[in-house]
Amino acid sequence: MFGSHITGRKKTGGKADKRSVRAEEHEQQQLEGYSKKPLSVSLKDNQVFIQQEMGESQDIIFRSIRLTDTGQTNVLIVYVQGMVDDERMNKFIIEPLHRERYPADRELEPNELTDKLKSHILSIGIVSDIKDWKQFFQKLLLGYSIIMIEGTAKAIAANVVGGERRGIEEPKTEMAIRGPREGFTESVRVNSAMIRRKIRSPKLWMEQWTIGEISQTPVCIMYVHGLADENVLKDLRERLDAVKIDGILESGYIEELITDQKWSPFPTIMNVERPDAVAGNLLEGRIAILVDGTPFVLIVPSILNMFFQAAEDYYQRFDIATFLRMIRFVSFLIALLMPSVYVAIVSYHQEMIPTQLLLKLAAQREGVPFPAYLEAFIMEFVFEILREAVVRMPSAAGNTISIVGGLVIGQSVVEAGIVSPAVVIVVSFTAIASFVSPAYSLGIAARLLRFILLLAASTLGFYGIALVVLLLLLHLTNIRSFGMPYTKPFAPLKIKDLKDTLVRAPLWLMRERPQKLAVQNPVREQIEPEPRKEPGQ
Amino acid sequence: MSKFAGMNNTQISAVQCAKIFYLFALGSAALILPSAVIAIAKQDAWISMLLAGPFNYLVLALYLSLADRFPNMSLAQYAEKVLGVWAGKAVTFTFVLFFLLLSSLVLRNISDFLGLSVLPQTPDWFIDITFMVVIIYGVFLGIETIARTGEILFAWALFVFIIITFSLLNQFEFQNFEPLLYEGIVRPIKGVYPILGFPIGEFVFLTVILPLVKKEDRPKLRHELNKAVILLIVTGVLLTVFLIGILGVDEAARSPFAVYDMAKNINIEEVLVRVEILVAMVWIATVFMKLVLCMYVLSVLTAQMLNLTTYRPLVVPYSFLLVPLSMIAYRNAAHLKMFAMGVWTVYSVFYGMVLPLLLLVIAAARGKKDGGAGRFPEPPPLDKSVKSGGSEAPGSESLPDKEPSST
Amino acid sequence: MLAVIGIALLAVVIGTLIWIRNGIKKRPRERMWALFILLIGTAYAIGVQLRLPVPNPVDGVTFLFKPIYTPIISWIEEGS
Repeated sequence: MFGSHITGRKKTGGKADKRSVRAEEHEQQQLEGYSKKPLSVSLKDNQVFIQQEMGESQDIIFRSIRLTDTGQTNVLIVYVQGMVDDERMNKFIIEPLHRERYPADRELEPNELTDKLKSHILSIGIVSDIKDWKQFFQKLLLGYSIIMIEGTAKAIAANVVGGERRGIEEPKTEMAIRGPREGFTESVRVNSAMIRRKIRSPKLWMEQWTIGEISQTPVCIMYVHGLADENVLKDLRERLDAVKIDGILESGYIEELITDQKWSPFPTIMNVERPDAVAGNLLEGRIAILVDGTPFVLIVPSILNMFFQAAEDYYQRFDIATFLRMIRFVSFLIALLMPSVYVAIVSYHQEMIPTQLLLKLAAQREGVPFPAYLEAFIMEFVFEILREAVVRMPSAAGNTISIVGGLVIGQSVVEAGIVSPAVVIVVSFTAIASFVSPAYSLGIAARLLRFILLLAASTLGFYGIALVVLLLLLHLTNIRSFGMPYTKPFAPLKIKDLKDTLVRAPLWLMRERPQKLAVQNPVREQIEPEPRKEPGQ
Repeated sequence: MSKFAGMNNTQISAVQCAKIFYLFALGSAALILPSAVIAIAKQDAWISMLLAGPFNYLVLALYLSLADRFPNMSLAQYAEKVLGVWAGKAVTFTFVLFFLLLSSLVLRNISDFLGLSVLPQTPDWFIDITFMVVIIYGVFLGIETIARTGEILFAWALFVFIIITFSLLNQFEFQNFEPLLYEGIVRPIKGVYPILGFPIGEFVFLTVILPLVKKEDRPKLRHELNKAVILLIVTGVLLTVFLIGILGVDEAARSPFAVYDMAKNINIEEVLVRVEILVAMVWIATVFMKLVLCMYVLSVLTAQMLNLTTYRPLVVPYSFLLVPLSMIAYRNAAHLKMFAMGVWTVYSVFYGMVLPLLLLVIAAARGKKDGGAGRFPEPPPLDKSVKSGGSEAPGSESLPDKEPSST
Repeated sequence: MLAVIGIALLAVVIGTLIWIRNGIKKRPRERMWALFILLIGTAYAIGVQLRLPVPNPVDGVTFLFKPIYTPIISWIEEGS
C-alpha cells in the first residue's frame, strides 16, 4: 500500500517501463493541473475546472456569495471540508462578505474589490494572492480558503487552517521522569512554535521546502544562525533540493534520502519527539528538520555520542546523570555482546567460568538437544517475533501476549528441556538492556548486529567476537554525519569534549561548546560562577 | 554525495601518529620478544630493554630528519629523488619485499598464537583468512580510519595493561632477579640484539606515514613521538620485569608466548581467573594495528613505485600472496626462533637503519651540491602532481570509491 | 585437491571483481598490476597446497645475510 508512491521518484529518462501507471498520469497532471496557468476570469469556468481536476470530490465545498442585488459581483469561496476551521471561516470570511452589500450603482471593479477584500473585509491574519493553478491547489490543500472574484484572474487565499488534529500530549517514545511533558504533533507550524518557545531568540531561523511531488509535504529546517555550521547548512540544503519522490509521509523518508551512510546499521541522523531535546541540540549548533505529518523531528549532524544522551540528563543532578549515562553505555554493550559472549564462553572457553558456576551450567545443559549457539539463536529469534507482535497487537490483547510469551514460552520451553534456563536468562536480560538506550534508532543497530556477533561467536569464539568488534570499530570510526566524524569526541580524541559523553560534567564546568560545531561561537554563554558557597563557609 | 562525506582520508594528527606508532611497536613484539631477550640476558633482560631505549630515538631521529627534508614525500618518492628514478624504484622494490615478508611473519605470529592458545582445533588458513578480511577492510578505509581506530585501541590496551599489572602484583617475587648483572654488563648488551630488529628496525614504516601527518601538527610530531617512545620503553621494561618476577627466568625464556602465560596466572579471590582472554584480545588489537599498517605501507609503496593512482586494487591480491607465504615461512618453532631472533635483526636493521641513513647521507651530499640550501622546501607544483599520484591520492581516492552514489 | 580448486576458484572470483571494478573506472594499469600480483599469489598458494618446493623468502634472507649474522649469533650464544 505504501510502496506505490515511491515508484515515481527520480525521473530518470528511459526507465518508463518501471514506473506505475499512476506516475504516468501524475506526470500528465503535472503539465496540466499544476502548471502555471492562470485562473479564468469567469467563476463558472473556474468552478468547472476545479471540479474536473478534483474529480468532483464531495469534500470540496463551493460557496458563492452575491455582493450586489443585481447579481453582478459574485464571489466564490472554495475550501476543503475538514481541513478548515469552520467557525473562523464563517465568522471572518462569510459573515463580513455577507455584510457587504453594494447597490447596483456602487458596484466595484473586480480588482478594486480584491484589494478591498484584502485590506478591509477579511479579518484573517494570513492572506495571500493566488496567481496560477499551482498555487491554488497548494493552498487549497493546505487548508486555506480560496476566494475568487468574478471578472478577475486573481484570487485570495485566506488562512483558516483548522480541522481536527491531535493535541499536544506527552511523547510516547521518550518518557522522562523530570522535564517538560510536551511532545511534538503532526503539524509543522505547531512544532516550530514549540521550538520557538524554547529558544526565544531572533537568531532562530527557519527555511521551508515543499517536498514530495504528489504529497506536497511542507518540510522546514530550523537552526540558530551564528551557531550552526554554514557548510553543513549548505550541504543540507543541497541534499534536500535533490530529493525527488512522490510522497513524504514521515521524516523517516527524508532521513533515508539524505543520510550519509546508506548501508550502515548505525544511524547518522537522530530523531526526537521532544521540543526540549531539539532545543538543546540547536543550542549546540545542530540543525533540526521538521516534517509535516509526523511528530518526529530530525537532528543533523548526529554522532554516536548523542544517541546515549537523554534530555533529562541535564535536568537532574550531574552525579546521577553521569551514573545513568554509564549505565546506558554499558547496557548498549550488553545488548550487543551478551548473547555472543555467552555462546563463546560456553562453547569454547569453558575455563573462564568459575568452577561452581560451570558445574551448574553443565547440569542445566544435560539433555538439551541443541548446541549453545543454536539455543541462543532460537531464543533471540523468538524474542524478536514477540517484540514485533506486541507492537502490532491492539492493547487489549497486548497483556495476553506478554503473559503468553513470558510464562508459557519461556517457562515451558525450559521445562520441556528444549532450551537451558541460562539462555533464557541471557536473552531476556539482553532484551531489557536493549530498551535502555534512549534513542530507538541505535537500539536497532544493536538488534541487527547481535545476530552477526552470535554467528561469529559460534564459529570462532572470542576471537570471532574480537574480529567483528574490530570490524565495527573500523566502520564506526570511518563514518561521518554531514562531515562530522561519528566517533567524536572519542576519536579523534579531544579531552575537552569528553565532559559530556560518558560523564555529564556539572553545568558550571561546561564552558565551551563542542568544538567544530559552533565555530563562530566557541564559548557558551552561560559562564555561571561556581555554585554559591553556603554563607559561613 | 556531499563533499564532506569521508573527505580527507589522508590527514592524521601528531597524537594519532604517536599512538599508532606505539601500537605498532608493541605489535607482535610484546608477545614474543621478551622471552627471546630473557633467553639471552636472563634476569637482566629488563636492563636490555632500557639499553635499547636510545636506539628508538636514533631511528626516529633518522626518519624525522628525512621527513624534514622531504615533508610531503614518502620513502618511495624521495628515494627516487635522491637516487634517480630507476635506482629509487629498485630500492623501493626491495622495501616492498621487506614489508611483504614482514607482513607474512606478523600474520604467522598471530596465527600461531591463536592456534596455540585460543583455537587449537581450527585450521591455520581459516584463522589467517578471517583475520585478513578485517585487515583488508582496514587498509581499504584508509589511514585516517586506521588512526582513529588506533586511538580507541590504544586506550583499551593501556586499560588492560594497568589491570594486569595491578592484578599480578601479589605474585611478584624479587628473588627472580638475583643475581643482578652477574656477568657484568655484557649480557644485557647482548640482549639488545633481538630488540634492534624486532621491533626497532621495523619502524621504517613511519617513512610512509609521516608525510600524512597534518601540516599544522608537524611541529608537535617530534614531541608526541618522543612521548610514545618513553611510554614504549616503560611498557617494555615493565613487561619484562613482570615476566621475570612472576614466571621466573626459565619459564619466561622457554614459553613461546610469555606474556600470555603470565596473564594466565591472574588470580583474584578465585573468581577472576583465567582472564587471559582479555590479554589475548589486546594482542589481537596490537597485531591488527601492526599488520594493517604493514599492509597499508606495502600497498602504498607498491603503488608509488609503479606510479599508480591508488593503492586499493593491490590490497586483496597481496593478501592472496600473504596467506600462503605466512604458512610456509617457518617450518617449525625452532626455525622461527632461530630466524626471528638471529637473522631477522640483520635484515631489518639493514632496511630500518642502514638504507635510510644512506639515503639521508646521499640526500645531504647531493642536496648541498644541488640547491645549496641542503634542504628541499615544500614541493613545487610539479612535485605536487607526483605527490598526488603517490602519497596523497591513495587515500583521497577513497572518496569516489567507497561512497554510494548520491540520489 | 579440493583445496586447490577452492583457491583457484576464489582467485578467479576476485580477479573478475577487480577486472570489472577497474574496467568501469578505466584504470588499466592498476588492474594489470593487481591481477599480476593476484596471479603470483594464486600460484604460490597452489604450490604451497600441493607441497611443491616453492621458494621460501625466509631461506632466501637467511642465505643472503649469512656472513653477517653468523658471527653475531655465535658471540651472543657464547656462554649461555
